[in-house]
Amino acid sequence: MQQYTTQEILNGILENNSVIVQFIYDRYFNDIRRFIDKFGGSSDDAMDVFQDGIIVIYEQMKNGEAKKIKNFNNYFFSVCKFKWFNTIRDEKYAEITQIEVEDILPKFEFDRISDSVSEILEKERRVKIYFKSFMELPSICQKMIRFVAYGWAIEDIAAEMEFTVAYTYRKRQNCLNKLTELVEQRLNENNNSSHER
Amino acid sequence: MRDNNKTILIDKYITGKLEDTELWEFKIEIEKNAAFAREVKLRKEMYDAIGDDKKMELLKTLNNLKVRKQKRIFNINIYSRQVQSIAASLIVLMIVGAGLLSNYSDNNKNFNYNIYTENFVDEGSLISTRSDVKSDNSLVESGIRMYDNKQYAEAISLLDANPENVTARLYSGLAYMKLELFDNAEKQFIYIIDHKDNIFIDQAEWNLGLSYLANNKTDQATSVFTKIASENGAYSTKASVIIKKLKNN
Repeated sequence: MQQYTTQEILNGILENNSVIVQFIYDRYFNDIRRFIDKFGGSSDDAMDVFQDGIIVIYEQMKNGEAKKIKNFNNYFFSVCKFKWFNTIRDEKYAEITQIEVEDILPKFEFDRISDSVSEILEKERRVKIYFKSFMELPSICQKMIRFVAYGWAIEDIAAEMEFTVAYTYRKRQNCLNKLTELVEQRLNENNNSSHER
Repeated sequence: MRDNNKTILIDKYITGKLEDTELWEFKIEIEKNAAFAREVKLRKEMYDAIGDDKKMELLKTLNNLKVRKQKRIFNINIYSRQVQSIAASLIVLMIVGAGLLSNYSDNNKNFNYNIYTENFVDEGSLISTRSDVKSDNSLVESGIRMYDNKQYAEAISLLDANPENVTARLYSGLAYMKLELFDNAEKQFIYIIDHKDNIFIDQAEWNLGLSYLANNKTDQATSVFTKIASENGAYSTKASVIIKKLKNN
């Protein structure tokens, strides 16, 4: 298997290089799956944790915090372990609540990771919901909301999409309403399910 | 504040385009109205996420990994136990028989399949909302509910009992795509397109093209995407991108 340096992997994540992402998956996913399995999770849980781990690193790279990551292997595992510990703690997995931090990560390592990634993980929980909801919109709405998010003026959006300005106003409103509705529905489901557990 | 005005003001605030007086009033509104403040925060977070193209692409790549992993597990389950030995013999025969020639075809197939997974978006749950179509047939409505609950095989059994209903045809086609039974999906979309008098033709054409791709019918897929690209509809940009990718392969 082709090997990459930590820096190459980090840049690959930042640039969404699919070869690097596939490499990370091939090289690390089975280890993460085994770890999650040992601590009561499923293969799907492992995939979620893997995805969150990658996104955390993307965010840290984007925020110029790359120097925190000296060794990708160690850091990525620590982030994934931290994420899983948080998942089982927050969602109160009944049968595995007795797991202590020290079973998963040394305390000092846990504290170090916690400081830098807790906030990102909480935000990413919501970002995943935005992404999922956005991807469910018809392509025309996706395109329009993307332009709105770029900060384009309504007249420019109308010109780009070859709509009238009046129609673009209405369509934007409909698309945003639909997106907000889907997001709020999912956020509520998410909150309810954490409370029920 | 009317919905449309409110939306515009929030957008202007997020993108830093509010004039001084408007900004002052807007900030006061945020201070005294907690629900409004939450709405602004939510909208800003959504825009930050959606406007980050690289991150959206990364999420798509990660999602594709997940889909491929689930598909592998599904295949492993299907081909376990008694079928396993037959499958193994067949694979050996295929390897010996097809030899190196198969490499090209496999690469092509993977390439097409990847384009399919990158582009297939489940629009099912939005179709009824978007078109205001209500079915007067309870079987179709139950089928749609099954589809929304991801019970695709059960949905198909109800939807296919209504061959005259284009909504049922569309959902059935999407359900077949979810189960990766693309030949069946193609038939449903072709029916909708030939029917002509309905509002689902753009979705049917788009998903027909994707089904052809997933089924490695490159020529048919190219022909469908070329038509979509030439019509300047909702999917025309995406279709042009696909055609370019197919040409460059």
